[in-house]
Amino acid sequence: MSVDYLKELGNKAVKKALSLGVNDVAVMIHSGRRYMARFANNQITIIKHWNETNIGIRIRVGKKIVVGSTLNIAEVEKTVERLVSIAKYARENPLLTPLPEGPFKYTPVEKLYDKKVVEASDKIDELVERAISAALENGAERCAGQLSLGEGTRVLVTSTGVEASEQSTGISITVRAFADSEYSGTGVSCSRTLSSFNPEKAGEKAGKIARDSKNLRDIEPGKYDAVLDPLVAADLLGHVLGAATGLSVLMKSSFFTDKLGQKVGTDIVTIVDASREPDTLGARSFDDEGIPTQNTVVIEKGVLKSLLHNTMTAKAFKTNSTGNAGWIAPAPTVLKVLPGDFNEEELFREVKKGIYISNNWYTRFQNIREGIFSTVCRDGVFYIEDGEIKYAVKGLRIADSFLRLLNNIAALSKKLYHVHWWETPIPSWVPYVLVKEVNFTKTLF
Amino acid sequence: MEDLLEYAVSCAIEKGAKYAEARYQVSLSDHVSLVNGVPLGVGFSSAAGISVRVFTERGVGFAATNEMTRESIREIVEEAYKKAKVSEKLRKKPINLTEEEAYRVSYILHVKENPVEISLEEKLGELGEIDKSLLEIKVQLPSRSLHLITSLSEKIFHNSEGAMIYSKIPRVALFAMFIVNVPGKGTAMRWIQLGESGGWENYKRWDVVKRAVEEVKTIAKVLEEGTAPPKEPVDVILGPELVGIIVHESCGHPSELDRIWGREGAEAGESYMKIDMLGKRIGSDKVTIIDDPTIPNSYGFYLFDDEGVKARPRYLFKDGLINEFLMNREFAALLNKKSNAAARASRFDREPIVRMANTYMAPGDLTFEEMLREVKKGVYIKSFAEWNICDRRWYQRYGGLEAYYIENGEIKHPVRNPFIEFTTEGFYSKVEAVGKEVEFFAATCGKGNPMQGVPVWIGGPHVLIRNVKLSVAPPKISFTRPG
Repeated sequence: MSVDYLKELGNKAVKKALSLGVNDVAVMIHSGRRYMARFANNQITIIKHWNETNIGIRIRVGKKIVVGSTLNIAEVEKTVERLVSIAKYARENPLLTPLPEGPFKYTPVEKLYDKKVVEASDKIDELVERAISAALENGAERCAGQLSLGEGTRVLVTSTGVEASEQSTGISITVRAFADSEYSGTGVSCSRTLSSFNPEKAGEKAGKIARDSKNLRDIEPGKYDAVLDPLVAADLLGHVLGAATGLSVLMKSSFFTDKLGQKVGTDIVTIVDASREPDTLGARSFDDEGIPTQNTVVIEKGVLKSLLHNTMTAKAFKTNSTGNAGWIAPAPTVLKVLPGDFNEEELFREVKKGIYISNNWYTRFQNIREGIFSTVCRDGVFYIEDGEIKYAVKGLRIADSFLRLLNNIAALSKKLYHVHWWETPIPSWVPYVLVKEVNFTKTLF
Repeated sequence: MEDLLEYAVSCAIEKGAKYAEARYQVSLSDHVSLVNGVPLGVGFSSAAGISVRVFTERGVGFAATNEMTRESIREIVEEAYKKAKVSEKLRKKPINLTEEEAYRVSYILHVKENPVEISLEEKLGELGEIDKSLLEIKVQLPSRSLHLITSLSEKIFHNSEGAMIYSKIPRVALFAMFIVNVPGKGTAMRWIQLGESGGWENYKRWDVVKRAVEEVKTIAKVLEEGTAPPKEPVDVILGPELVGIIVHESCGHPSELDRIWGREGAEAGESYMKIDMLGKRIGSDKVTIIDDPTIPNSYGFYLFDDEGVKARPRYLFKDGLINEFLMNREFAALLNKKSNAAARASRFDREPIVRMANTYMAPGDLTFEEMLREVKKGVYIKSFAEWNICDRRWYQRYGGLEAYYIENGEIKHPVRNPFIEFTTEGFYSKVEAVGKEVEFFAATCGKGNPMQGVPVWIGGPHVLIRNVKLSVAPPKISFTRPG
């Protein structure tokens, strides 16, 4: 659907809402065409295609907010009517703020759109085949995974002077290689442009880890220094960024509650919400309230410098929005961990007795307020001694606290990797991370 | 709407598909939230559209649209067919589907009060009552998060074999999270999810206020009086909530035949089960685990799956043996079996994949009191917070929340944060006694790419395991202040 048509649709909804007496209204439309090829046992199991438009509408009546979404373009005005009728019964939210007054000037994020990505939908099978071949050449026996690509348009129209639009593309692959059923490795590649996309690299990494995972040994649970692969760093530090949102801190359900301005990590830890990172999934030039995005330093040299805000949580903290709306809750966009001084070999050489974790999943909290969690090591997990990988190990999980983890980060690699897959919803730029004295557990019976 | 579905399927067959199906699905839901007493927002979502799934000799294509015009339907059918043909390039063997009866039926879960028609004012009032009651008890609750969601799922399924199935199922669900603080003792987090298929009357039956107040008081008591779990091996009684999550994670998921074949390998993972393990022993003869979509009022209720197959109870483990996999038509055909109706899709634009519905351990013959009397020294773990499992569904861990010492058959003082970490076989082979009464709990089960969350029940009776070691939570960090 054309941008002009979507804007017209947005304006129609805004006009309708104003005619029904709302104080302000925002309409966010996502329209896109996407493809996904899933594969398993070196074969494509299905190719899926979506052609969808979703319309989200937020109205404010006094201190009441009502939010609705529909996929039915013909029912936009009816949806507005329903929202307004619901507002009569809603209760006042004392924290609520008006929508920010626009218009705003937006600087486009670089490399957000690449026509070649869209054109690649005709060769989706070739891209998959290239990834699988690379994995097989590097030791895999079989591969599973997904390749997604597509284009989308985001249009925001508000009653406060915002009429913004942005077109983007995205492409990503996950390759999980298996060498026998117990030995596996995962590699990913993702970008907004086709030239930055490298399915072979994803396949190669997955294949090598699977190959090297053979001959699993048992190891005693306990404290080990841990080298986190970028996939693991993206998941764990993604939870750190998620804990730094204004609403979770305001509602005291974050391990960063009452810690703003305090030291929460070692001096080498600087974490940014990088909405404006070029050629990066998740990057965008305006948020859901129309505020221009920025790169927000959340943790600077170990100090919790800023939370992520929309206008509502910003007001509660007497600060400005960071461009992370979310109509109700602010949300992270892109996790970026600033690089360290080590090349990857040097970082491994720092480890006397430790574990390299190539991937993880299933991170869950025992207590989100205190940051106590565990996560399961997945794919290749390797014992390191005197800087060298010795052998693959099995059955481990990290069971620790996020605050201790941040306080024990000892080294970061120079190179950052763009990672995003099923388990890590926040697209990330992350290095290899060395954490001292991580607590590992394993099954007791 | 039936016309459009028939049009979609006939277009696909005309193009050369050997099988095609089309599904119209409307998912309506509304939600109200009250967080720390603040009504953060109310709202609704409506997702309606049509998807088609097209099978060629060796390929499968799926496409979805929310534009319900003939042109748009033709376009998605063409896309699905084209992509099915493309996928054939990387697929060697033909795809077969099981032969199943083509039903032409309609079923509606009749309710007294349609939950999506209850005013949001009344729903917010319900949450307000819970919050007010929580504030009246003398326990510090720095974080209280309450969400009430009502939904309606309406589907029409049609396939090229002539099936036409209409269904309409309303659901109600409540999510609550509390952080309880006892000064000098620390904090604890408790999550509750309640959910059923049915009307507003189901919600009213839950007595949520009483339940929330009791939960908070109990957690506060655990913080106040709880001591560390025993270091030596002890007998452990697991409550129905723990048993429910364990059977879901370590029996239900690994029984999904698509995982066993590797189809979900890159995301939800594979399985410790192999196709030749039917009939192999996995646990003691006390262990029978059933997945049953047909339980009335259950959160995972359905009578026909999203491939049109009639639902029935599936006996996944029977008397300690691996008995039956969860199957759809594609994967059952690989074993020369019939589908057991496990195909589910969460929305119109998601492909149907192999899923659980309501998974529970079958009851045994002991009352809880009789089970307690079996224990000289042990721990009773009633609820949990943290849990996770490896993607082959073998290594798992559960963080106990409400838990008590047992001494000479009696429940004593609370135990704080007893963790239990075991292998699947380690657990099931140690099941020595199973309680008489089954309890169910609501959950949202995740699988697929894109992720599909589907409503399920998990449950079971009390279970006794003997002579096992517990572990403890990682110690709390003392915080360094700046300067």
